[in-house]
Amino acid sequence: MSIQDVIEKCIVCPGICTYKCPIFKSTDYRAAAPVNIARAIYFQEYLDLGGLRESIGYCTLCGKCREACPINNPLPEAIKTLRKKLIESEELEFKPIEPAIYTSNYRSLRDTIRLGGEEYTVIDTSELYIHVSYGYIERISLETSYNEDPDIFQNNYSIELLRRLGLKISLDSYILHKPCKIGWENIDMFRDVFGKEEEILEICLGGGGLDLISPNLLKRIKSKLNSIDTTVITQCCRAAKRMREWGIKAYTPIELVIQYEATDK
Amino acid sequence: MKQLINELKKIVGDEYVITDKAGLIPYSRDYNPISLYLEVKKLKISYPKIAVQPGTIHELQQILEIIPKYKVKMGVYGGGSGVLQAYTPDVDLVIDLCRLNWIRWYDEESRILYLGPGAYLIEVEEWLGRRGYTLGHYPQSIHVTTVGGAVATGSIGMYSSGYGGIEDLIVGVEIATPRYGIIRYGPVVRGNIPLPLDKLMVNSEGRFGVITGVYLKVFRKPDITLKGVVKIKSFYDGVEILRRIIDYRVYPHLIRLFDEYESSIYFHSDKPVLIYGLHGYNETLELLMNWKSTLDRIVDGEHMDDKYYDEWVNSRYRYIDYIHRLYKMGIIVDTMEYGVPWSRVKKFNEEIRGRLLENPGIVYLSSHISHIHTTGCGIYYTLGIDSGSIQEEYMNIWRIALETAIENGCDISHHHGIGRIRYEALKRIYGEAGVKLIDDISRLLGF
Repeated sequence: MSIQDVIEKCIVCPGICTYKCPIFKSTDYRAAAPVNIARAIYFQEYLDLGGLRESIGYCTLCGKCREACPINNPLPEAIKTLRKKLIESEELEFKPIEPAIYTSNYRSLRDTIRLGGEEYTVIDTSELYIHVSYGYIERISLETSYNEDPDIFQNNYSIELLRRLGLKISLDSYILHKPCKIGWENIDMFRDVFGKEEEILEICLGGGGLDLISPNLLKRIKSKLNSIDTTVITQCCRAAKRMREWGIKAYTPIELVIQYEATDK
Repeated sequence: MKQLINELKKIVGDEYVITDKAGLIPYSRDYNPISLYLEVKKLKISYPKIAVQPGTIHELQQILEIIPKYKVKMGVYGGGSGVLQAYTPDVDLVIDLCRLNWIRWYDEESRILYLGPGAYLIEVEEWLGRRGYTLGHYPQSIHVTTVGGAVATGSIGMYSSGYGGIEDLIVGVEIATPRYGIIRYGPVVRGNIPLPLDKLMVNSEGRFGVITGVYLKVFRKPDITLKGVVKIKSFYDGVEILRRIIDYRVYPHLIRLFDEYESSIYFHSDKPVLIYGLHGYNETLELLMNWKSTLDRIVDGEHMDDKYYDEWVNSRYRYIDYIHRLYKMGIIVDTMEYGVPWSRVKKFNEEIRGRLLENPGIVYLSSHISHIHTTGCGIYYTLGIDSGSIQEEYMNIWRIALETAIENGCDISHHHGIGRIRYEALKRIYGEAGVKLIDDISRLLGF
């Protein structure tokens, strides 16, 4: 299907997917909702909107709009293609983002595994994490199966091991950060180790690139999160980092494994 | 305007006052077909000067209080799913309620839920579903409709004969007004008082206050759905069956009679199809089975496989594909619905169809009856209009249809509201005095 077809289908829709878009949920900014991104693309020249950089930059390409769409319209793929075109024509700038945070200190995990008598392999994925802005979510949502993503794999691997060993990490209560499907296919595995979450947080923190596009939207997200005082567990290392900058106790599963002493169930 | 923007920023914060073109385009229209058509064809797209997104009721009230000072035209935006131009962008300032999207309070024992006006109906339904409850309110636009918008336009859903319309679900409301501040009423069991505010706000379309909170009834989620799909000899035989069902006070949660055209599309049937469903609970299975066999007896025709019921329910949100394909063919889809007394169904239906089809711009016309009441039913027409003539003919088509409804003693609206499209017809049925009363109440409240 051509980009034109995809966009034309979107713009005659009232926005059925809007309520599912993690960026709209976290910002309440209507121009960032999928249907309005499609409209911005469609009306770009007619309304002299001054380039697509912002509108297509809001999207993390998580694919939730396509899932919610009754006709499965591939808007994320269309946005991705447009981004590539803009990058090739140098209208959109790629900026490297920092490597993922897990490059060392697996001691707790290693000890835990050793105690259980299991063999282990430490996966150093730092090289793989020199992604580029917009690229992080895009790659894992559209190209790689989630469990094949090194970062997510590492999280899942560590938790799966704890579960097999019959160990758990005791938290008084926690919030599960699940704005998109990244990393949570086997959610019960995490519940076995951490217990049942207090609630699910569906607010996306921008997938790593939103701050480059619109600092204002990041302010909106921050104000939505300012009442959280419970531990948040997220599969997104960028969200964890951002939340910690804002004073929220947020961790990826492997960070919790490293920090907390696992105990027998 | 600059001073207003500064004052708004002081109230809600800089980031929630939108003044740039790209940020304002989402407020360019509601889902009215002619507005959509003009936009898609790049013939007309306009947007307000400012959009403001209050995050609390207090902020909203402050905004309403400063507006009179600036003498600006104001509009309120919910989910944008209205189809009659109740919302248009020809305002200076639009108040977007999307940040007031909370589910604040639930009295599970009394089955009362308190919601923010910006909460999407679908999200509320999913939240309730996880807890074993339902609103039973499923309009076609459920994914886009907000709670405040549903009340303000008098929404109804496909399960109306089992759960009622929004007027049956609402048990309290909170509104903000420029002159009287915040007024809250309810939640009530029946609320036997003069001027019950919750009922006043149903289909008020922003005239009497900005809705800031809504109390709704909820129901236990059904355990069982019994279904029926039947081919009927003729559309009017089907109408008679519907009338008998309501006469016997049997209330299936869903009942819908499709005309020949829609039946051929959805069920590949050469005859009109009537579908019905009964929601119930394990504890009341026997009662439910009795009702089902009663319905099976009343609904005289050729019974089809139940799977068609599910197929229709599951495919009803795929209309975007349909609209897009017709757009490509140069056809614009519009819909209109009327409340029709049982005694006038045949005459009205024949007349409206005949008069509409005289217009060469209408390339097809189909209908179904999807809501039944003791005194009549809601007939829903879907029109395909040739885009070549739509700009000249659009209001003419509506004028003819509304004229026919008024002449036949029908309601000019069943559940889409009045908006700008039906405003002249409202004057006809209510008279100068009636419309003045509405305007005076609105002015009294500060609008």
